[in-house]
Amino acid sequence: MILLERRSLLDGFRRGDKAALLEVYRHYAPIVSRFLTRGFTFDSQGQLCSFRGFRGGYEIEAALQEVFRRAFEEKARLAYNGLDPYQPYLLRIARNLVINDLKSKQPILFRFRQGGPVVLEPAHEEVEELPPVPPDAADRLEAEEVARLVANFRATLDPREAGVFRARFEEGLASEKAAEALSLTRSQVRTTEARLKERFLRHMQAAGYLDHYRPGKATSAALSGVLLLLLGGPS
Amino acid sequence: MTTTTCVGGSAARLIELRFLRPLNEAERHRLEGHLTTCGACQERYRRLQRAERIAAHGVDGAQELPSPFELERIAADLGLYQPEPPRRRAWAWPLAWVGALAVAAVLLVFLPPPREFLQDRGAEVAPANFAVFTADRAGGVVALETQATLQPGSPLKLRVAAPTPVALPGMAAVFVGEGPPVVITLPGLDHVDAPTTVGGVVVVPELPNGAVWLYLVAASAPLDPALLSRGLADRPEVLVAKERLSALVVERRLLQVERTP
Repeated sequence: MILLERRSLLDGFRRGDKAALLEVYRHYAPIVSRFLTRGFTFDSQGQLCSFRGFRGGYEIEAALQEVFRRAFEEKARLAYNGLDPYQPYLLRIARNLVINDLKSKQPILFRFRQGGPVVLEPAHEEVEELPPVPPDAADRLEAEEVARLVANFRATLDPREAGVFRARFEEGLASEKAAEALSLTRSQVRTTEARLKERFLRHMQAAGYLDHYRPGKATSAALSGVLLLLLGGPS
Repeated sequence: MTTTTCVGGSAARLIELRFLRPLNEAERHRLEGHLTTCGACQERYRRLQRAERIAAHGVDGAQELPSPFELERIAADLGLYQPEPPRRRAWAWPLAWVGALAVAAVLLVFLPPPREFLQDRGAEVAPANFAVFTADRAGGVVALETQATLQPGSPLKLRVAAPTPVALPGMAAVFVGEGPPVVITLPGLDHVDAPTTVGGVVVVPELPNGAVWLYLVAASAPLDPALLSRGLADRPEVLVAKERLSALVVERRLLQVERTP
């Protein structure tokens, strides 16, 4: 609704002002991301199908980028009437983009699947957005493992680092806002953030999540055993 | 759960960089080209993204909601947002604070991570990573992370992983803290293409209590301890420029030496 409520933002959006586009993007990107992840139903040659959405990873980032690239083209910006809510208009762009890509011999959105199939299932009723798919047991286990690693990392932070982590990693405040909230300079926030990102990465690697991740205690116990032997003396 | 075993080491590094700083257009193009053909790197990317999402939204929200940094990356790709780089140089720290560390160590704090530093200067840097393990008091094995506490005399074991086969005949651990650097050379490895344990054990030297940088070095030629000591106390790129070492890997971790009675 932000474009309907603020005339100046709508004007800036139509002109293509970067600040206005960025504000619109920040407002709608989570909504579009959810839409692209959940999927939707559509009519294909007289049959109702459901597209079960994008998986995570680079695929979803590339899809989000492509939706906003199209939506922010001058033609698309000027075609928005400014009277109706922008969200359905934007999701229509996303939906058409996916459907056209499904038909395309050289897909843009689905090129990260290495030729893997995009599964379309028959649908019984037309819905704008499918309900979320509950994660399976393995997925849930992985998520909980990552949450534990994140909590361990958080526990190692000093007060300034914890503040920057909360403001930037969790709440997504802009650097200036984070600096204001934490009584730091922007430079301090940026430097602390850069260090935290590097440490976060190394933490997840050292814990084994990012490379050679295998859930289950048996594997880590076996690894510990091998290392204990190695630590026993010079090899 | 699949494991990530990619042979495209530079792409794996690009994935890490994308999460650390904005990629330029050429880097992004290379990364996208690789991701269209490499399932292992797609998985690597997904895990990093998931870790960021869970940090931001917890387990339940992470499935659908992008993380703040994910949104910033896409905004940067769209040309809507230009994140300011972190300051790299030293600024006026209070003298009392500076006094806690040796001059060499203080200079090193403000250098960018050595690997990036070397790459920025065109050095050939092997796509390899170190892991360091030590024994905890209960007799278990723990990975040694940044800010970990070290006891002089405790043993460390190194493991190096390289996604593309590489020979690393020069291998060393260097402790840079107060006083002269302590160099411990280790047996080199003729062939690394999977996580490989480095021969020998690094015994933490008798260092004074306080902060110490542990540099992990692997190179395409045997390493001279005196050269390493000078090179790391000055700047790592000196090793590349003067000694023409290629396939150099330098990683460092800031640790705390603390004796317990």
